[in-house]
Amino acid sequence: MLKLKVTYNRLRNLFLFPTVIWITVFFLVPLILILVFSFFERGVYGGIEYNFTTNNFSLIFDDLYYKTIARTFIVSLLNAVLCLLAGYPLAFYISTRSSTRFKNALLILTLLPFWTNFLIRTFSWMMILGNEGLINSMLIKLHLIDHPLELLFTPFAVQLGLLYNYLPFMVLPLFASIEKIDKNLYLASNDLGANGFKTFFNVTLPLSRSGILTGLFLVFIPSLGEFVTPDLLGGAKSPMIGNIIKDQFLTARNWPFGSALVFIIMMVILFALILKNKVFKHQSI
Amino acid sequence: MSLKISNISKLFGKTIACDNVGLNINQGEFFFILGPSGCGKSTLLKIIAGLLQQDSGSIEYEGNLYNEIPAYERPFNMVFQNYSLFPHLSVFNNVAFGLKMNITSKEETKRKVEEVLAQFQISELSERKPEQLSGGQQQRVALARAIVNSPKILLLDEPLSALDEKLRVEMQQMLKELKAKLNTTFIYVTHNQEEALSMGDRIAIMNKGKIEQVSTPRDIYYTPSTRFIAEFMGEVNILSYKVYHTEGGISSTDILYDENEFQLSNPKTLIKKEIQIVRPENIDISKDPLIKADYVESKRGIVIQKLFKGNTTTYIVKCDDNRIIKATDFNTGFVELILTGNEVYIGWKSTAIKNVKA
Repeated sequence: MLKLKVTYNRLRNLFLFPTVIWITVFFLVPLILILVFSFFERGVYGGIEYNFTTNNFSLIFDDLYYKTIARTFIVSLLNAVLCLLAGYPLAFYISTRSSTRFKNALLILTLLPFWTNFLIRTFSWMMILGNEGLINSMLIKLHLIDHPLELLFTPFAVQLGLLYNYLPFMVLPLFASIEKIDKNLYLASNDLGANGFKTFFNVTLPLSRSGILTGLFLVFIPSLGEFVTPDLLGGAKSPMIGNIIKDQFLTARNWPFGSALVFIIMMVILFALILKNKVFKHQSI
Repeated sequence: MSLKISNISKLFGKTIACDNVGLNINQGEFFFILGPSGCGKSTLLKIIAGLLQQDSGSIEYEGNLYNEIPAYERPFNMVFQNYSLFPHLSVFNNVAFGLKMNITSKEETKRKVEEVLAQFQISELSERKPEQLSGGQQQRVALARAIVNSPKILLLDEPLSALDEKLRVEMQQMLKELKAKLNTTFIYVTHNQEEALSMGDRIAIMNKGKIEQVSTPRDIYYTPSTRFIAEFMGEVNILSYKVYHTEGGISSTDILYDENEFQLSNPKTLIKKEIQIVRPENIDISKDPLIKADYVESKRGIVIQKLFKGNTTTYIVKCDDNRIIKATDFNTGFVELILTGNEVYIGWKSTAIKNVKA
């Protein structure tokens, strides 16, 4: 028995080995490099000058940058909330259908946009929102407006694009948590005098809280690093931190400052996760 | 009659859960719906609660038609089979749920909940979550959650089936005490005969979606109306099989002793089929010859198997005519009087014999 267990453990370690190597080489090492880079000066022609400095971090508090950082947080947070508001009714609707086949079909439809390329999906929105795009040309043909509305290259377009791209990240965990609720609890609630409306707010909503939290984080965190959507739909007017980071690495070739920005975002996300775990530590639901 | 159920039918796809069920249940009665699993008893209970809609038929309570009244407006409360306590709420808030939904003032809610928690001896658990409770404790909370709303009818869906034997007996006693204090009608669904017999005022036996008999526990046990009930309520010896039929205007009865022959026998002019039964405990067993005059039938045989059950022992006796008869006797002492292989005499009185529709 004991021997079997030892063999089993060895086998397990053997299988774990490639993953450990992969994570170390491609994740841990770059992460440490970024941390290290952020404390050095930039080279004149890009690259790193190995002189210790904290200037990269103080630069973040420059008007130009911290406003973008603050806006990024607001946009990401708003995106998470909008995804929740749009995703909950959808997830609830799917979960409350009785036929499993119909449920699966609806879930696949939710995920379907995911199967097309991210860029193409975002480009489609440019087609819809542009001056000669679907919405404007229709409104003009209907003689509701004379001049095209300015839809594309606005904060609105960015928010819309983010909502569209991240909705499935919200719907899936929400669906999973609503689906997990014991249907007998609805009967019990009904039996105890709660109509459908009260049952939703007293049973369904609190019991799907883990799904809500997971969904919020799954949307909020990647939204923070977004640079394609604001680039394509927001133009130059509404950049997010992602755009600045991209510029620092690819255009301005200021790796240390880019690293500092990455580091700050990571710290904020880490802090948010720790806070979430602290607050909900004692609740298993 | 206070609760009147008429012609209730319910189909799930092609399966008939309830088939034209009719019941009249008096206010304050401890009423049992007893049947094997899958007989439709839980479905019937949910229809009464309003949690399921019947396909046809009506439910009347105190003369008012309840068909269109939703579950949350019916003055009935249910104790669910697996308790269905709200996992996100404390014991206190679980019990307070119904009161809150009916907008009871905070002080009154608190007073009522604390009163019920004390009554069920679970006051000290009031801050706990359901997952921190044992099965028995969850059961009490589920009961408290229903009772606190002072329902006119308390519906219990196999409430004790998840508990172990000792706890079950304890809870049975508690339920009986609770019932004695309230004028609430209890409708209790179970597949456990003993629970129904020991607690019920009346029992409805349900089989394959149909009610087969409604009567007192004593009647159900001693004068079952069908073979299904006779065999469901305990062990039986089938003495003979009778086929009543008419031939050319003259009625006649075939008496058979072979089960297979009985199953196949179905003359064109069949009136009815019956079996003659005797319960094992109504058969006297002795090592000495019995006084023939006392018994309608007595036989000699050999004990081929003994089943010791604590307070009773069931002897399986192979009689001289090769028939197998089960006889149950109380164990009165520590001495084993009859052993396997012993020659015994068995007999039964005419009052012990019942004719039952097959």
